[in-house]
Amino acid sequence: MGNASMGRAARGAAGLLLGLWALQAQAAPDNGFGVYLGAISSRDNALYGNSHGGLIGADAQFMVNQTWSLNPYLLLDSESTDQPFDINNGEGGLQARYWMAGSWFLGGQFLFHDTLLKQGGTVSRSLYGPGIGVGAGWEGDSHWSVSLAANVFRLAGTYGSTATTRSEAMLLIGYRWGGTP
Amino acid sequence: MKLRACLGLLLLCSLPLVVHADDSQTTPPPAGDTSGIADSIGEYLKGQSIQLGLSYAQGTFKMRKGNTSSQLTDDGRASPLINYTTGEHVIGKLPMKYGDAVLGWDFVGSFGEQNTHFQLNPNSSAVVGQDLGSKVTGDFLSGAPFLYMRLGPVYPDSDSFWLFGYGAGVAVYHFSGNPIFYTPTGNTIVATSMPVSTSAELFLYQTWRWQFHYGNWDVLFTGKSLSGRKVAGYDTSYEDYGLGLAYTFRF
Repeated sequence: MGNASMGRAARGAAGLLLGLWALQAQAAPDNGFGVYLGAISSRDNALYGNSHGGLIGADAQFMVNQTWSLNPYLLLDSESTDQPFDINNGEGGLQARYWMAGSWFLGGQFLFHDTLLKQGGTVSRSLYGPGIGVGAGWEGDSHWSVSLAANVFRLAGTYGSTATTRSEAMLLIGYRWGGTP
Repeated sequence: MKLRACLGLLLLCSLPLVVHADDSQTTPPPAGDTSGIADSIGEYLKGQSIQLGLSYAQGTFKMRKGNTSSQLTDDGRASPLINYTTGEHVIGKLPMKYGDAVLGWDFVGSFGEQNTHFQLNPNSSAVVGQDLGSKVTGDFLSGAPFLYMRLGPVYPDSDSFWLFGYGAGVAVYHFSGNPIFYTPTGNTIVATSMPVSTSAELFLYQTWRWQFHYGNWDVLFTGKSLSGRKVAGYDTSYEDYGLGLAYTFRF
């Protein structure tokens, strides 16, 4: 079920990105603040199985030159799982983007996360640590963007509690206040 | 002294030129040009500063020996932000379209208070404690060299940058209180209350900071950790994570 949902989400996003290829503009990306809304789907191999939810995010884009940018970002999400508990996850990271044909980019990111497992409104566990991921997307002349990202990190707590691996995929729709304001 | 006087005179004389140059600049400098915007942030960070503000933070105190442990938290509280920072030392610089990506370091001194009086126990949440009459209070003074990367400005004519860094140093820390210790024995958990205290002692201090600066204001996500010492045979640590807003005074 989880894999199927992630697959559908990935196919939908890929279709959306292909559709946007037709609208491709040659505008050069620029510095600016961005905000994002999106959907997230994750999988864990021991703790909760699959999860789905929504997310909000924000970043700042710093162009190194015409082809590279550095984007520090923050992201918060809320997810429901196969188990009788929910997840709230926060991530802060730095993404390096390689820009192709002006509006398209490929990226890689390094992040830190704090994942809270909640049951009945009570946080039962707080699991945190570093993670890595990749991303790809399109950011147009209109300042709107669509992107996909996939991350992987360990869900580890303190005092040697058992650790598992979480993989996640997300689709983000964003808007950037870019260039010279 | 003479050199200082000459430099002061030179700066004074060049001030009108700087203002004139700034007025006439209507387009951002080309990539790699570090003479304008980049230097303004670099110059800004050359001096010392004191940062005063308010954060919402959560502190957690932990003691552990074998399978006996105790954790107390404050369940989150408003906390003053008081930081002293020396001037920036640039290790490396990568010119960007606007400004620079800078790898640098400075030295940060800070003061922190601990008032943990909610016990984390086997029946409680992992992050929200219960009032069981136990508490540990204390405070610390810390100092650490802080290694960071900063990017900026976001917009070509703004005093803005993003910074993320890590610092490791020492803290003078003292505390006292009566935490409850939990020891799993078979299917049961034994709870024992025991007074603990320490005079001002040196602890390993680690800090992380995710910061966005605009004008004289900063939004900061900070993490602080005091650890690396045994008290009464227990590995003892204190962690504090917060989100804050601060105003920076430079001198």
